[in-house]
Amino acid sequence: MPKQGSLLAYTVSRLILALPTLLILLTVLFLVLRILPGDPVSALEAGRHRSIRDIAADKARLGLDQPWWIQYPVYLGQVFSGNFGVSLGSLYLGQPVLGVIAQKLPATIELAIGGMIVATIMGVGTGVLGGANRDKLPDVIVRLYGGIIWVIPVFWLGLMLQLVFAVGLHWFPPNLRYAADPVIYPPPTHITGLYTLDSLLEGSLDKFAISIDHLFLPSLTLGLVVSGFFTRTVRANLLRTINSDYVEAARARGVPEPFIVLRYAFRNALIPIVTILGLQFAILFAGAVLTEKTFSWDGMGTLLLNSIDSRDYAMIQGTVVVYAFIIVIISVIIDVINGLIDPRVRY
Amino acid sequence: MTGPLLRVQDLYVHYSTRRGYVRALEGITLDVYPSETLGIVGETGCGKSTLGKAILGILPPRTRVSGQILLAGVELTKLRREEYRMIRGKDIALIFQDPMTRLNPLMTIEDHFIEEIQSHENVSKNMARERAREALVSMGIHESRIKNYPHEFSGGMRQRIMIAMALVLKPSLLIADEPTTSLDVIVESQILEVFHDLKRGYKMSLLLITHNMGTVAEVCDRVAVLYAGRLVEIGSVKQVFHKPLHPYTQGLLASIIHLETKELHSIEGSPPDLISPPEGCHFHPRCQFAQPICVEKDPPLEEFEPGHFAACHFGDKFL
Ligand SMILES: Nc1ncnc2c1ncn2[C@@H]1O[C@H](COP(=O)(O)OP(=O)(O)OP(=O)(O)O)[C@@H](O)[C@H]1O
Ligand code: SF4
Ligand SMILES: [Mg+2]
Repeated sequence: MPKQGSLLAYTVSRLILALPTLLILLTVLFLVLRILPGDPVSALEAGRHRSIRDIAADKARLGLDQPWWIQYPVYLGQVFSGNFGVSLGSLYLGQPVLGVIAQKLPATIELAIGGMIVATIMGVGTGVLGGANRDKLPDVIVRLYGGIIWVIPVFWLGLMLQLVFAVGLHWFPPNLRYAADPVIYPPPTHITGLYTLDSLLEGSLDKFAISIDHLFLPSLTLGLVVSGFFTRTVRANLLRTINSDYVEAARARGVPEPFIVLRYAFRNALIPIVTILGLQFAILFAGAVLTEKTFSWDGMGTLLLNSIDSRDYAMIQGTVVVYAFIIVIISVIIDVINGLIDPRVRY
Repeated sequence: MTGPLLRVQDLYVHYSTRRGYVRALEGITLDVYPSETLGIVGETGCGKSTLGKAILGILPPRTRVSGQILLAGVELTKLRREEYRMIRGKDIALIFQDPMTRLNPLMTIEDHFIEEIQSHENVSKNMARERAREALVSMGIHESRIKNYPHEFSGGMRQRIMIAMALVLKPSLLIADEPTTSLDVIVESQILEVFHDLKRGYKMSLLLITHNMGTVAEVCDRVAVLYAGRLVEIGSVKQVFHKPLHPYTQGLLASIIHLETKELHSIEGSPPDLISPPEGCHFHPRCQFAQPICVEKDPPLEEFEPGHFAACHFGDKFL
């Protein structure tokens, strides 16, 4: 029975297993972008008056005149070597796709982490509250919350929170990642790109406070929407484990109740939750796109929406591939975490 | 004879379900004496496991429980939560019927033992570990396996681990709920031997739940027969086996295969639904001796000879 040392092997094997997933994602993306009518060059040139020859030359430069069996391996080669070409849209025309994404990614990561923290606290908190008070008033409220919160549109929830806490109460700024005036309030020096982390690294608590202030409402919006799923899963799993045979047996041995709830019911309830967490990240990123739009948050979501608007195929492709990479990597991390808490996983 | 170690008096347990209350135990009264083995027998669903859980106070919430349970004169049902907890595992231990699902899949065997020992005694981890090792070895589990997880053991091994855990704190009362069902015959007799030694060693009492009449004859001092949540007969093994007074007990004994005749009698019909049990004697729908009075009147538990009780209107006819 491999125990210590097998974690690395396990991680590597999970990564290898993730490759087919990634390949499928990339292939679907390739097909969608190539099969859909229109192509990047025609889209860009639309409305401009350029000769057919110029357009053909542009297409040839981008390899779009080749048949798909040539384009496909070239495309895969580009993706895996990190070469996504340059932006074809008006906003970032000519800039390297990966460079633009690298600027936007930290904002989205910061928002995703904030959202995940809110979702975890709210979801686990309410789930435990409901599960531990089955069929009593707290449970009824929790069930209502878990049922309603996830069908609320992100736009609407974001708008309501803006209206109440920003416009009405002035507790938080209504939008943007940082104070609007960069002269009076210069943002933290770029180290990681995460404003909260960078301001701490810089040692400036003021900047940290401003970052958190701006991060709060978007994270809350995103987190609340995603938390509904946590609430329901945590509650259902806790009900299952708290009625389990091993909990009854632990009671019979006189194990103190707090240990029973924590070591037996909660830890066992967590396992399936961690497993589905990977899926939640996909939903989280989708929610993040809408949240970014609502709060003028200058991240990957805004970038994606703008790229779609301007038919910037290179940028769309780059953004989606980066999303896919992130989601695959997160699911591997989650598998590894699962292996750490559940001894039955590692064989 | 000294006073009983355990005294159960007029114990009622009604489980709350969607369909109504399941009357799992209906007025059980019995005593267990120090270093005695009392067998509990009865068909499936008659309330044997419920009795064990009721004594430990681990019935599910919303279950209606009434009656008294006294351990060495202390009324357990009146104890505060924490006091009752300290008794579980330490003074009364329970070995569950189904060992496969009784261990926390996320904890090693060692974790389980250390947790249990430290829940009751103020000892170091190393001391607890040492005692765990001893207990496991005495049940035939190699000490190198102590850091393994439950899923790495077979059903029979888990059962032995559960037994080792139940015995590690030297309880004065051990409730063993069909402890040997998942074990082979040789291991079974070894385990019964272990119980026997403990009873002599420090006067442990044993409440042995089983439906194997052979085991009862071999290891029990007295035997109690349950039928549909009621105690229908109790007495010494000799009394009950030689002069079964309740027709149900008679049926149970007749259902043991006779080696000579190779005949297997079984009791006709099936036990009643405990949500709406029949009026009068619960056994009357299946009883070949039933009379009109049996349907009207519930027979009380009566003493027909010293120490031999039965709940049948016509118990004296069988004496
Ligand atoms: N948690 C529960 N909720 C509702 N009813 C229950 C519960 N546990 C047991 N019962 C019912 O109570 C009755 C007695 O159950 P119990 O488990 O005590 O029987 P048993 O004699 O141990 O049977 P077996 O020999 O099959 O183990 C059965 O009718 C059973 O269906
Ligand atoms: S009381 Fe009547 S029905 Fe019940 S066991 Fe005795 S004879 Fe049978
Ligand atoms: Mg049982």
